[in-house]
Amino acid sequence: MSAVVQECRNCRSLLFPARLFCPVCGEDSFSTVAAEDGTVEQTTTLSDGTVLATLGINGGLRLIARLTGSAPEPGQRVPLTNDPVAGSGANAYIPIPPNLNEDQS
Amino acid sequence: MTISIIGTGQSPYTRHPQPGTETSQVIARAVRNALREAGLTPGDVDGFAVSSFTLNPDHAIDLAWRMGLRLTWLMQDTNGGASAGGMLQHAVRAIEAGDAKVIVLAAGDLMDGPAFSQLVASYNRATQDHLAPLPMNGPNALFAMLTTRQMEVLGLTREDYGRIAIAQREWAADNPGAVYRQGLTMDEYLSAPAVATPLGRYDCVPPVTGADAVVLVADPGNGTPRAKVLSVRASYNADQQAGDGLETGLRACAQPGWEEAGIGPGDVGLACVYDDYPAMVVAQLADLGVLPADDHPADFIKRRIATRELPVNTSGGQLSAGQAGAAGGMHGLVEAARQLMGTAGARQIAVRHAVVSGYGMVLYRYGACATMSVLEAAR
Ligand SMILES: [Zn+2]
Repeated sequence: MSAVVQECRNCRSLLFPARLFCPVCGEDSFSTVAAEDGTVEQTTTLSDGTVLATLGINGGLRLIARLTGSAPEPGQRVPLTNDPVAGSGANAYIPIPPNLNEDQS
Repeated sequence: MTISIIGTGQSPYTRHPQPGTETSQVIARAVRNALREAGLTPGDVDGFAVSSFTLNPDHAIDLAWRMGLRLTWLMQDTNGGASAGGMLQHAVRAIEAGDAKVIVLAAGDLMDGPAFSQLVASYNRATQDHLAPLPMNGPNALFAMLTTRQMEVLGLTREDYGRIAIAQREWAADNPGAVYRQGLTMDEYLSAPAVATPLGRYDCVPPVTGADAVVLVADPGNGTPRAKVLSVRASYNADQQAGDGLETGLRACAQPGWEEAGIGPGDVGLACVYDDYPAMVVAQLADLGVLPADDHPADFIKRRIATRELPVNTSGGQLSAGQAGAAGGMHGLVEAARQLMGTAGARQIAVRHAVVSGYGMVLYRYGACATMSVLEAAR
């Protein structure tokens, strides 16, 4: 299980959502890399029971995700996925447009 | 040359607009009211700026045409909660440069249920691609997590945020234009239905339909009460969305903004800060220096805001008066100008200097735009 994020080919900064120029070095050449998991920093529970979270991944990047399975506590690591129906185990769903998914396959 | 606001106007905020109401009509009503207060007619106007999320398919020029304005300066701003400061910054420079003499700034929206849903689902590409499908409907969840971070860093509790909401509701009691005017108790605040933990209903702004406008001119010098613009500063994308959102772009505006104004944050008798959530009131007051770095935020709220020692958002703010889409950005500017011009009615305070902030445009995790304006009462 993993989620795609953008990586600057020049300075290796991880970015999400995708940028046009790298905010760190100014270059405009990118690749995509798979992020395996992230650390839960904060969660919020919506009125319908949905649990959303801010996750930190290596490199200091932060992502907004929906947590499924048993809702993990801040500090826990959870696997990332771009699949909205990735299964019932604990995971963090990061939406990306379908065409971006295809580019990765 | 100093530039001043000499007229303010609103189109009454309403939760339930009449069927058939159009954004353009709502904005035009605020413009007409502002011109009337300034003692001017549409024929006197030569500059116009507007901000709105729901003006499509029209633009600023269509509005100008339909209001019969002949102009030498025209702009449209798209920065929501920070739009008033952005338009004010441009307008002040335009008058100074001689591009226009009488400028009207307006913002407004028709924000009924479907318009609000449409706005929050397609706010920008990042929202469309990466937030709306979570699903996330609007920014409440993002500011819920930002509030949690702020509670940890500043040692704030829900009661502290409640004191801000309650103080603003007390101001709203004396604002006939606010949609919620009935007193709010701490019990009601704490036991309100959760929207996105830790945020409850009274931490979130009620969307309304409405519009706000101001009229700007150079030195009328005829004894007219006015709100002189001492400084305007803006900051866009200050941290590339790579921070925690607890610090806004106002942090960078503050020093040059106070310096240009010639006063300090301790000198203002009124702060109208963009109150999309109580946590953002705290963040902006801190960034502006109005909440001093060596003061404790919880004590500051209790000691200065709750007691009205420092009047904050005297209209009731958007939390009580309502958020009329992009007009939310102009709400604080209109209130500050009214207080400085002595037209605030039952909630009038004695005040000489006010600071107004704008904040908005959530790119992915928090707002990326911030504006700071310092105003002074004059005649
Ligand atoms: Zn780079």
